[in-house]
Amino acid sequence: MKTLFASFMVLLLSGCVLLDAYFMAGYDTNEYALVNKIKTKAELSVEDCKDVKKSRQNAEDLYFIAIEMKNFAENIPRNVDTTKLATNLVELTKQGKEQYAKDSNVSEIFCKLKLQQISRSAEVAQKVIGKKPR
Amino acid sequence: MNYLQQIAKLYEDYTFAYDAGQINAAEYKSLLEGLEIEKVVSTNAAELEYKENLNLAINTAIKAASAFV
Repeated sequence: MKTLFASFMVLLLSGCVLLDAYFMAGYDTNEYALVNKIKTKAELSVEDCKDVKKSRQNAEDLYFIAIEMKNFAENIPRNVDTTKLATNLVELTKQGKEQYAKDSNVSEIFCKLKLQQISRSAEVAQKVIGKKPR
Repeated sequence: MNYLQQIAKLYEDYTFAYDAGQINAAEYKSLLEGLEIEKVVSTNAAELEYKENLNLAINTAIKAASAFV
């Protein structure tokens, strides 16, 4: 009886995974463009790290784009995984923005390292978002 | 360099920068929290990639089966 129940549960769970994968949201140009914008903005912002005022603005812009991506992704049906990635990018960019909000003298090295974190994460997300089914 | 080695290297770099006084305690904390998020990003990306591969396999199987119908 236990074996039968276990077999039933395995079939049920694998069925859910298969259905989830089969009906997953497809590739979306806007989604891809937004994650690409985060990556590009993070890469280019490194050049401004000596200037705290510019860097503060860059941190706010990155947070804005990440929120924009999350808002775009979260209401597309069967798009949970991309929404999770967008939420991660929101958290990461928020950390940068908050550092500039509470400290008027953020170091240049912190600016560069935080932007590298954002850039790396956006690249990881971009690679899988680009592979979504057409 | 695999992913865990990369994380370990970044942790060492951040700790070095903190010990050398290049970043303050709040900045160091923020970078370590960012490292945690980077780990989550990799996990979430791997989950999405798994589904993409499964989707591809299902569609290939459907196409192959359709050829015999």
